[in-house]
Amino acid sequence: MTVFVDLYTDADTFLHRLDPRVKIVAVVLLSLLALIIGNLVHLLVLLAFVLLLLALGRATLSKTVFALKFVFRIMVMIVVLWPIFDPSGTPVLAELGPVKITEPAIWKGVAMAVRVCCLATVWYILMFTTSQRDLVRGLVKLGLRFDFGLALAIALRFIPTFGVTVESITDAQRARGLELDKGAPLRRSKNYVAVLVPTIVSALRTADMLSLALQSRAYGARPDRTYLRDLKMRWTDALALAVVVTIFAIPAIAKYLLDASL
Amino acid sequence: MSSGGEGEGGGSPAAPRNPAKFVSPKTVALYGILTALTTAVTMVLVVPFPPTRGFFNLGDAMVFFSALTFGMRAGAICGGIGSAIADVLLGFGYFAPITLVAKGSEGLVAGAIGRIKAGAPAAKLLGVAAGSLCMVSTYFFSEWVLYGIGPAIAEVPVNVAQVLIGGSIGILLSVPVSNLLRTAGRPHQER
Amino acid sequence: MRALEFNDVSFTYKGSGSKALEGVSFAVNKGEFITLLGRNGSGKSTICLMSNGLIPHALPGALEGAVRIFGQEVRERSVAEFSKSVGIVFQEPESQLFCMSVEEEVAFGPENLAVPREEIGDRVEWALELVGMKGFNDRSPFSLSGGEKQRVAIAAALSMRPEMLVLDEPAYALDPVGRFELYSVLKELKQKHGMTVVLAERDPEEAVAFSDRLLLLEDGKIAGVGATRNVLRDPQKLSSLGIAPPQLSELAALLNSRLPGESFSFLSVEEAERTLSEDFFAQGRARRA
Repeated sequence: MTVFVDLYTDADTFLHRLDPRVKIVAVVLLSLLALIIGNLVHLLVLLAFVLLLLALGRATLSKTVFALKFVFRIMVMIVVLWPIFDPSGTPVLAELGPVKITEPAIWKGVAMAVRVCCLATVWYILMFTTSQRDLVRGLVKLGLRFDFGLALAIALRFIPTFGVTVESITDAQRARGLELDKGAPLRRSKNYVAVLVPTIVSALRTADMLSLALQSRAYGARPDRTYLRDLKMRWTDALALAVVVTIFAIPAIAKYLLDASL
Repeated sequence: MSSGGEGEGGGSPAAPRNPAKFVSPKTVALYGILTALTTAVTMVLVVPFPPTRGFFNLGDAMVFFSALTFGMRAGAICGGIGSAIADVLLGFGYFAPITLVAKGSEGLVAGAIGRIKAGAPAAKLLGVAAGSLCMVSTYFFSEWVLYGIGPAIAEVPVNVAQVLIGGSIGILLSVPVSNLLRTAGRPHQER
Repeated sequence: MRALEFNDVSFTYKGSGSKALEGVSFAVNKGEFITLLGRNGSGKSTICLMSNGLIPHALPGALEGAVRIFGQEVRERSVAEFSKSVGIVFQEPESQLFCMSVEEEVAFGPENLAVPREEIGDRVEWALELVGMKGFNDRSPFSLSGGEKQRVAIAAALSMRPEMLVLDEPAYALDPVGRFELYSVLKELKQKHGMTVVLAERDPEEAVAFSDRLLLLEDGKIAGVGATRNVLRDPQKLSSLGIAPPQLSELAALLNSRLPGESFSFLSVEEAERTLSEDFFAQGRARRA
């Protein structure tokens, strides 16, 4: 496939060693934090912190660019469009019919763009430094049911398989003269059905075989199943969790209990 | 071929005993596979669409297909999670929770309405329309909050075109596959 | 007690009009390596799927006759219970591995049986070593070759410490290297570990070298059964059943027809080489004398 199917990069940094549960909680808290604070300077500080973590996780340049290229387009769109739709505040810089461009609205747009950048980047701290296996393990340890976790693991395991299947069937149908790139939309939709039906049939066959394989290996035999690998919180994990909770709690308390505007 | 429907597998007089009260192996396998398929189709099958010079993925086709063929639970879980994973892998992971709700509700509603009267054509159309409405409005309101009203409005026609294509392909897919599932008696065929 | 016993077994898949098996009776002794031969649809897979209870528990249909697995009637125990004594490997490498790493794949069975953690670790290392996949613990099954995938599937079955291993055309989707790797493992299982093995094949070429017995199937019925060497004496019968006879048995049959009085039979290249060179030396000595 031409796209990444696993964003994880193997390395040995403290972020890689961190318990996946701590990383999942951290990402959720930092995302909420980005939504709580609205002040441009505070958002920039948060963004700097997130980018620092990304650098500490030794994110490769190509993956960072990949993670940010889509967000960058959205950021530009927000900065351009926000002032047009938000007429609040003074001074008014320009007025064109019903559209009023004000200085506070411009800054608000920039702040919103930075917020979206924070939200987008913080995810990749988790995704770049945690293998899919640890991710599922972490979710199960956080309370996801074993069977649901297994279904999720199966999904992640088979994404590249089906990516290849879809591509090869597409190529085969193209070679038979099926037009997938031109033509009227409805006609083209019909042509995609010719790609998707064999893909789906092969996938459903795989599902049947998997169900036999699961049963043959004693799936569901006992409720008290054991696990070869377990996650253990070490003092460094506890410390990291404490730091993240503090970083989240101080602005949250300031905003909601002390009524400070952030 | 898996039998259609929501059901837990089995059905033979001596159905597999499952003392652990886990979801049946058939369901685990089917849901895992449908989720992977939704993600793979979303990521790989992108259709160039000249009027807006944009690209559409066929992910919605898989969400509607899962919902109409296997029911609202499959539509909601496989559609929602499969699309959310695709968001993460395509580089807009922060959007994954929103996508989970948007596509999950799309599948849930399409599956709930689309299978009334054994999936009559009118039910399917209505289901897809109602599911589409869920998806478009979820994205609209979320983007309004996140990006402001401007980008949110700009996205609406894109999403509408996406569900139009996805919905029509989803319906076209569910018909032959449902028939296949009904007629394929021998679950394990030697080839 | 036999490892596997079929007594006048017939089976029709639910929704199918024809019998997949009809009046099949045979038994497999403990420690025996038996190879089922037949073309597509001859009933090999059905026998395999019955050997651990997937039929009739997971794949319903009309089952007549008695199937006993280590003395237990197939209808009376669940697949999970049989999984402790029977391991199974399917044809397609890709669709029987469902975990995100080799290690999880091999640990999955014992984990479900609530085996203590330390012992699972030992079993995983033991099974991976046995199939020659040591050190592949953290690899994703997706990244493996077909032959490697099938060997992981064998390890995943072995880690449940079964007494019998059932393989349904495990080499079908493999390239020559993958086939070679797979058969090396089967040979070792037979020779070093004395494992009871039921192997379904449509191409007997490699498997005859270490099969104790061959069972020929046609249209769900047994068309012949016997010691490997005896069955192979009649390559034409194999051909008539749609099974390509091993090249070595064709060679033996050819030599026997050209050289009156000879009755060669070769199960491996080494054996053919040894027998033939002895034979030629003997003839040479005879001529000189």
